[in-house]
Amino acid sequence: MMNKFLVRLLLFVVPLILLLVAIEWYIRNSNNSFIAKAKHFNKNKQNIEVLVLGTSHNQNGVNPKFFREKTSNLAYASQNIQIDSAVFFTNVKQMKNLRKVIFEMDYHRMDLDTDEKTYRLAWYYLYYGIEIYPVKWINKWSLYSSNTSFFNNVILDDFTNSDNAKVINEYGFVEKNFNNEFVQFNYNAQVIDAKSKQRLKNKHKEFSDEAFEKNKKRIEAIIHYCQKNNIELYFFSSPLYPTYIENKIPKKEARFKSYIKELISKYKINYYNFEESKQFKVTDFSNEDHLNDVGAEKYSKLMDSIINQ
Amino acid sequence: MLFNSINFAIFLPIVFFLYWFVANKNYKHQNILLLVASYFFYACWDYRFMFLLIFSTLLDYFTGLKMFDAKTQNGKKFWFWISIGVNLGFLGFFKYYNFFAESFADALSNFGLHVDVWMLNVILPVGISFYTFHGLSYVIDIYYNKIKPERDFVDYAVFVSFFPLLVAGPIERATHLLPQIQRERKFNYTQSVDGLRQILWGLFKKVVIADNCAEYANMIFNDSAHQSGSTLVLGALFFTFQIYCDFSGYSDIALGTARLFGVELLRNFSFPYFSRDIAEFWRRWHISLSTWFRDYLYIPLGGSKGGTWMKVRNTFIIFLVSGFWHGANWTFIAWGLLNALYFLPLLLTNKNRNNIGIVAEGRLLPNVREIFSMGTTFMLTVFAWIFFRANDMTHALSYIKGIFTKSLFSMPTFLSYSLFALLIFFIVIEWLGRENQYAIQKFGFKWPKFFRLSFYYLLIVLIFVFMGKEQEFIYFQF
Repeated sequence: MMNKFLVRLLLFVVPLILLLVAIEWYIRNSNNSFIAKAKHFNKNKQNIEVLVLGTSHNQNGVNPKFFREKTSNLAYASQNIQIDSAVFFTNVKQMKNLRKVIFEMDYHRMDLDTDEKTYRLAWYYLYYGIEIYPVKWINKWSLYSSNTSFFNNVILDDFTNSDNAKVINEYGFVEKNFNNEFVQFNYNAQVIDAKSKQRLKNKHKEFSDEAFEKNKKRIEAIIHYCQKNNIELYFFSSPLYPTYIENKIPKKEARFKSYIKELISKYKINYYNFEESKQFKVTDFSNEDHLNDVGAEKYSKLMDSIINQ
Repeated sequence: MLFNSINFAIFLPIVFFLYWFVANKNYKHQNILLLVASYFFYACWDYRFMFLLIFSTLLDYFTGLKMFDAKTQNGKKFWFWISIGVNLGFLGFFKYYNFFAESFADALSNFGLHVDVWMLNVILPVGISFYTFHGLSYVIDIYYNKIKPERDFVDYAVFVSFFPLLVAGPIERATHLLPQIQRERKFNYTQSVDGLRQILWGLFKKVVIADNCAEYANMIFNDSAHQSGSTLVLGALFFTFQIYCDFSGYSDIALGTARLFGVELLRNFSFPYFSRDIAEFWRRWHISLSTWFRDYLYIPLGGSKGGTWMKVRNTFIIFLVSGFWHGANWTFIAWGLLNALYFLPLLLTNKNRNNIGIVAEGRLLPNVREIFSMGTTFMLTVFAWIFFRANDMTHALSYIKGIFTKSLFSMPTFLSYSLFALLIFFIVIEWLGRENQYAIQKFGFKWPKFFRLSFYYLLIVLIFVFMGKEQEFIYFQF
């Protein structure tokens, strides 16, 4: 009886296990910006000369293909300074040719910190070997288990919406079909201005002295390391659409600006502020604080020329 | 360790293998294995409260023996009250201390007296209400000479701590579970397959229905002040399905798991939302708790043997205590009171045992009268759940007030067609399977095997597709 039970159970379960293995294989080889970036980085780590860090602002705004030197853009959505710092320090010693680091110095970043529920922590563990908080053992083995609902949506989207599949280049940069919200408004400035207030109502409103102080220490650790190892460190504030700037919290903005001044006077850092740059028009943005592929080309070329001056 | 976690999916086959292949020579070895596995299972929640579980087990084990060996009635009574006092003392301290302290301070403040009461800053030990009630039933049964005490500590400890029922029931009785622990258990193919099927259905209810309903119910209840009347009704409906599928899903997994070890646990749910009156609902909802209160509270209080006043008093007592058992909040007491009020007309007109059998038994569809009575009972239940889910009484009352506005007839905000489709699928399966222990127990048995297996695979795929973040079971907080 037991044998019959076990054999039948095995026969029932085997297709499910095969299905899960297939899903895991599929998502690890799927059209995903994070995975593509990590694969490119891990393959070329020793030859990379320019490293880009930051959030989705740099993820969508910096396309390494427009850089003269071998560049890796590891910026990713919601990648806070703690993760940037962990990515940097975990890998920097293996990056023998690293000469320059581009660090996103944007207004919203200083108040953000990681918490243990951040689901992408498992991704950073799997692809960069970082474990900021203990990662569940199952997530160390399976990317799918780290966020089943997210990957279910990815798979469903791949099969049901294949015409709009993202085009991702070898550096993990999304060159086509990423979510461009301003297209929906036909880049009409009046419509955007009218909608922005509501759209930005809850955006980047975090204010945390604790996170700010922690991030200061993280940034200064990176500065010290770069200065000691002759790595040029460049701080950039990303281009922003005017309505985003109007929506900033004055107290948060003042504290941020004051900190940048402090960094410049104390460490003589290279800081470039594109927040209100007139070089970027409405058609360069995908939403109030993200560039689109056209804006990214412009911004990347500007960055490249700056770091090669 | 949650039943709907990967850890449990690994823990269970390991224990199953050791149970049937390593410890199978002697049921005593199997019991030791079950005890170790159960303590490990509990320690995965919070090892710091292990001492409480072990202490409670030792207390009831020894007081049971002392009561039985007592030479005088006073001696017996002494050990009985020691057990009752300490068990309820722990439960009261961890679960109700803050509530009473706060209520006391509030009451004094009404007379202009302000006192700073000391509040307990500790989480509620998981499962305390369940294992305390296990122990109490054992001690009470010994006191009333219904059973003899168990002399083997391991057997008794397995009765209290058997991992499928440890943290959220069903609340077992010594008369039902102990004999199964005390004898050799043989592997039974049919029972094990049935157990797996019940686990599958429980997981479907929890992961697909309850957790998805929870998402919407939480959004609506957490922002109820800004929702239309129709959205609030939808929120109450989502919670109604959430709590049923969450708790009965847990019970299904517990019963199914126990079956894999050759143990039959008490049934906890019997399609309560198909009840035709509130009395029937309470015979079908959380059965192990309602029967516990019936046997250890209602009947000792005199039950329905006295006059009408006695019946009414006792009914109100058990509903209020049942509400309070769920948690230290006036909302639970209001929920209990409301159910007592629903029950009262049936009790006074002696109609509380009118609907004993299964609705529309042997028929595919109910008749108009049955539809009407089921609909009315369901709506009353939905209304009562608002109190159960609300954060406090003010929230509950404002929620209800929000329903009865003009916006009740507007289009609700949180419409999810996929969730509605799932709910309809679920209700149809439950209806078709209502004559069995659980909905899919015999579902598709007349179909070709290929279709039946496909149905099981469909449930599994739905579980994977809708699997979100692991959510705790609601009844763990009780």
